Amino acid sequence: MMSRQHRLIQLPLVGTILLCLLVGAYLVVWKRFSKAGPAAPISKHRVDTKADETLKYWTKDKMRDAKPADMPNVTALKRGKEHPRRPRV
Amino acid sequence: MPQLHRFILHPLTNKVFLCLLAGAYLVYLVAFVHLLSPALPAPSIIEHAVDANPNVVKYWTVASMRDAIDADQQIGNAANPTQASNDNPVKGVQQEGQPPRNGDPSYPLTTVGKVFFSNDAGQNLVCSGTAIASLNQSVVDTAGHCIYWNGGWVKNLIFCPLYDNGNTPYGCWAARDLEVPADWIGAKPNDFHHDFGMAIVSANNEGVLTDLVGGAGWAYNQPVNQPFYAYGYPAGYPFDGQTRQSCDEGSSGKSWQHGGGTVVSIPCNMTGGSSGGPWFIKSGGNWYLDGHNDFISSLQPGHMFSPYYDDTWYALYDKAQHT
Repeated sequence: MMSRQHRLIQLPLVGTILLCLLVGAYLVVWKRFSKAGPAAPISKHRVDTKADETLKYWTKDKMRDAKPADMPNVTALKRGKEHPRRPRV
Repeated sequence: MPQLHRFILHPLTNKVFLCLLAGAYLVYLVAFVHLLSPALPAPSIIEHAVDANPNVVKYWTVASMRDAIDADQQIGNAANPTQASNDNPVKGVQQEGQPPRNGDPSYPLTTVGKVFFSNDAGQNLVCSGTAIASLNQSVVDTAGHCIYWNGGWVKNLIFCPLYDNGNTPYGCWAARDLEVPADWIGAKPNDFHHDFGMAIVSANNEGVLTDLVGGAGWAYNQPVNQPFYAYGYPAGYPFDGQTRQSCDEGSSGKSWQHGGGTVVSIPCNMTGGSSGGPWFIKSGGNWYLDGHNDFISSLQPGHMFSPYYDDTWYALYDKAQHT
């Protein structure tokens, strides 16, 4: 009777220790991975024109006559590291 | 004290406590698994069997070990001490591509095409782009300045893979959504380090984009010092934009600091119209998109630059494939 009582008393005690361990491990993992932060914000634009109309707009002549988008010419450059570090987002 | 004993020994108390414990454990398990496996595709693993030949061990004498050349030095970039950075190495991710359903042997070049669009002034312009493997099978990767430029979104954007002298063997696809990183819209003038752009296209009469032409594999956070293979439709002199051109000598990339971020350069003489055209890296027989033609610099004539494909590129891609 006495040993059964002991077992019953010990059960919540073991549970409490386990719970504390789990909470501790959870906090460590949370701290480790929360450093990643949120993903970079993205800007989105919904196209109003229907796909069929857009496709009809582009005749062969228009495709052939379309001008190249200007390729930017940049002068602000500095040699960088070979393996860039993982950026903080 | 006896009251406390009764409370502890009460079977209901034990059951409630065990249920709470199990609940806490489940919450922990779910949170842990979620944190350990973010919404990234699993990086592909390439296996290479090493021949266990005992002569290999004999080959490495003390003298040959001493005389062995540092691999970085052999590649030719060890001269710049700022390039070496072994601490906190970048964690790269690669995703294999999806071949077209007809098994076209020219894949993954079937994914490369021309991007046509109109600007605010009504001018019809051209860039280049790539159909990439994605959940919605409808994502085209290109330069941000082919999507959003001078404070406005472009109009009438279509993507024509395998364009050749006015012929579009698979047809063209019209964009239904356009996306760029917010910091491209807010970028200072002449800051192209996050000049990323993606168009999400509607299905055409033939079907969804990557089902027909395939989706190129992609990679980000990769080492810069490796061969890149560039493609596009340059239309500025001396090119006419009617055929696909390439810089496929496999030149190694060089890293640069630009506008608060990293950009990459390779020797390549493509001109306007090639913006957004893919840069592939090759690994284990597979091709991965890991850059695009973006800008040139008078400081490095004959070179093409790309924004470094990093976490921001992936954030844009992930948003696009769920749009």
